[in-house]
Amino acid sequence: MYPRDALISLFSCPPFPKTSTLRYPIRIIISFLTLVSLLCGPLWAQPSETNPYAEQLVQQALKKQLDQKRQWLLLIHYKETWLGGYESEADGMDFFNSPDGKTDPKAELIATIRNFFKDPESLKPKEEHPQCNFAARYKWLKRELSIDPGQLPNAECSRLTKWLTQLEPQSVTLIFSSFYMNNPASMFGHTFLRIDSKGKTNHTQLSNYGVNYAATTDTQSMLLYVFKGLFGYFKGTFSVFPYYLKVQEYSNMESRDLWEYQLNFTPDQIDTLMLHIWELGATHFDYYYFQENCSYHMLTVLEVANPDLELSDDFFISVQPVDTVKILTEQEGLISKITYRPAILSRMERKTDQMKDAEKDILYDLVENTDAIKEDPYQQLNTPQKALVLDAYLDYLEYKGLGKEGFDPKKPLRIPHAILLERSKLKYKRQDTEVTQFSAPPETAHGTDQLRLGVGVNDNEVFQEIAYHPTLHDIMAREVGYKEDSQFLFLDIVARYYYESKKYRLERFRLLDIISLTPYEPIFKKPSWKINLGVDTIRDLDCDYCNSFKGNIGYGYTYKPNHRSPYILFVMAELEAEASDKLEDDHRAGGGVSGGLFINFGENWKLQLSAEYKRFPLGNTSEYVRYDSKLRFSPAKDVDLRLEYQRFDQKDQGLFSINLFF
Amino acid sequence: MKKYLIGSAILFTLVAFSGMAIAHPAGYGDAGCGPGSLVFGKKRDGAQLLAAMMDIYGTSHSTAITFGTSNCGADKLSRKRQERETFASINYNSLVKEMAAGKGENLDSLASMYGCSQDSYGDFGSIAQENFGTIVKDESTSSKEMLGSLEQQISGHALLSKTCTGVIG
Repeated sequence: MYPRDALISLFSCPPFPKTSTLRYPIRIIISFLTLVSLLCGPLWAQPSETNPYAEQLVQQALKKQLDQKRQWLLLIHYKETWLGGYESEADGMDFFNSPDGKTDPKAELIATIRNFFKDPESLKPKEEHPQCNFAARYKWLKRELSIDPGQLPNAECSRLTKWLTQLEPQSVTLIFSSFYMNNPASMFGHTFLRIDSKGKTNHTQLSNYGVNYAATTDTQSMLLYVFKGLFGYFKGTFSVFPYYLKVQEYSNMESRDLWEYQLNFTPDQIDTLMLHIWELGATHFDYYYFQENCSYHMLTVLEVANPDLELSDDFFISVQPVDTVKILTEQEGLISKITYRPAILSRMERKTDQMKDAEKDILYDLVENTDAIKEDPYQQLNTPQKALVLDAYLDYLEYKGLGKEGFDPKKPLRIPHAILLERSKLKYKRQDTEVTQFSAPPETAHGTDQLRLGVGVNDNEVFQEIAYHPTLHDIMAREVGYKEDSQFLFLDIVARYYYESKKYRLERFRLLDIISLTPYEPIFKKPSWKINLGVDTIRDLDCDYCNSFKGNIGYGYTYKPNHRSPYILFVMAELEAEASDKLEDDHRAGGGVSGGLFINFGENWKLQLSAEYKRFPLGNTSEYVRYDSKLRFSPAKDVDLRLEYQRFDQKDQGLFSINLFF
Repeated sequence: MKKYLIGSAILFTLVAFSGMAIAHPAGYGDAGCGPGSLVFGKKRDGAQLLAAMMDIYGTSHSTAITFGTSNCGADKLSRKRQERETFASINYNSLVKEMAAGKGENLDSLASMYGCSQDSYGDFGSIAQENFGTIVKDESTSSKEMLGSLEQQISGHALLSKTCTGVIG
């Protein structure tokens, strides 16, 4: 077993306090007793109830209705329920002072104030005082109620103080990780925070610390994983770790560009943020992939730091990292600086971009065989050329080395020593400070929900179309901020009304529809692929727009002359299976080929021309040829207009649509 | 009905097979928190991979584990050393690459952990590059050994031995 936990909590002493050791059943009993006490009078009295100053503060807080204040609701992560009450999103009971704290802001407020008076002598070994465990609440209440700390027990929060001293927070940066090669699913991105310590410069960002919120997964089963993720059966927790750990993971191992958004927070807001992160270390949240996910909780934490920000309330159906970055950038004056941190392969591409063809060929030779370094084409280069080729090659070797499975303790170095030595012997430092951006910042990307309204005509009649998907990006949409020539659709539904036959029909429902056209190049030789699964309309048979269950996968290659080229060509071999009672034998299965062309005219226009041939030898034997041509124009970031023509077997249809993204 | 079942079976196989095909390429980590991560299921955990690639075996192993707890009472110097060792072992491959090239962000961060002032980062990169063969002898050199040799180079350097105040100790 790897010391995973140790790695994650690498920072200092265990960063978070372990509070009460009470177990859940005991809590239930306590809750029950509390209920009994409410009905039959107090069974036990808390020691602090006798403290007159505590009671005075409680009365003062109630008079000021602090339990209804936005900051209090934010601090305890309360959300309004359907019934008009409140419920905290925090699910670890250690987060609350009152057994009813999860649903009762007032009870929690009263219990919190009283707990601040807890006698430090009564603490169990390794138990922290509530003033320390709930440091952000303490700070806020102290201010709201002008609490005189002299009248409170003196709790020494030595671990918290040490934690803060070591972090020395000066500013806070939100990090967004972009997509990675050949995986359209990664277009969703991920967000986390970085705490920038005093004295850290642009050169030493790596040694800052990050704050991440992630689910602790406990299953290898795909089905269970999906189920648990959708319905909140994973525990989500906050963790603190060195930023370089995440940079290694995202930038180097997965080669994802990072976008860093420095937030314009005052020192006081940063202090509150830190204290709140400390509080959160003691609890967990049920993790929901679509709603209460990493990006959502980053927003809730930022709201605590600055309650004037209203970030987490406006989400429709799902919270996606791209959208959360957008919300932040829309707040006036909140972002003070945006930095692009190119991934390892983006850095490599920046180098290959500067190479002449002959130099590129040498790089490709090296990728094939390290020994090419001893041979002539390489040896004939001058020193700057050698350095350029080797630096690009070293990026490649590092990326490949990190991806390797297993670890040989006898060979901790994963890059061939001979290449490193050769590079060092050049005694040459390349002066290339320019950065080329290989991805666009997420706030420039179109919205992740898409609604389409269209009108079309086929050989028989006119129809209207309405379509919607909650995620994420279709291959014809404006590509800024997404992986080029890729598609990731989840729950894509298309319905039509046919005017002549006066019928409503489900045109298509895609549970999942992914296309990844990755240009094939000599270094990584990545294939292209696609997969889709759902309900479709059978078009080549006369069955009155009948539906079928259909699954399709494809595997092939994409050609693109270079990364700035406006066009790509692709070809794929496909397998397909379809089931419907309208088909002879209720099914058909087979395969075929597809191929075509995509051209981008700037970022606002895109054209697709493609064709496919399918043959089904199994079940309902049949075959068809299909042609598609599509043209898209985007007058704005979140709107586009499309004109499509399709010839399916002998049947034609045309469609004009307007697509809105939000 | 039977044929319908066969059709469904083929459909299922297609999907199941394609799932494997997608999950195969190397480098699949946390796809983020959107449904993307749902589709691709449990991926190799980033920290686990990092643990696999850093030299946490032998002495550094215990360092990685105890870094979380044992240094609470440790003095500042040994804490700084542990910080450098962890940094070097996790970023080992990035570091050696930058040493060979004579500069880079990881190298700058390491220099700052040695207390070197920013204007000496250039010299720091130069000595790492010029003495690369001594600092990283071969593929079996561990990150800790690399740090040891690097420190010797710094101590022997007229300027760096003065500006990088954290080396001694």
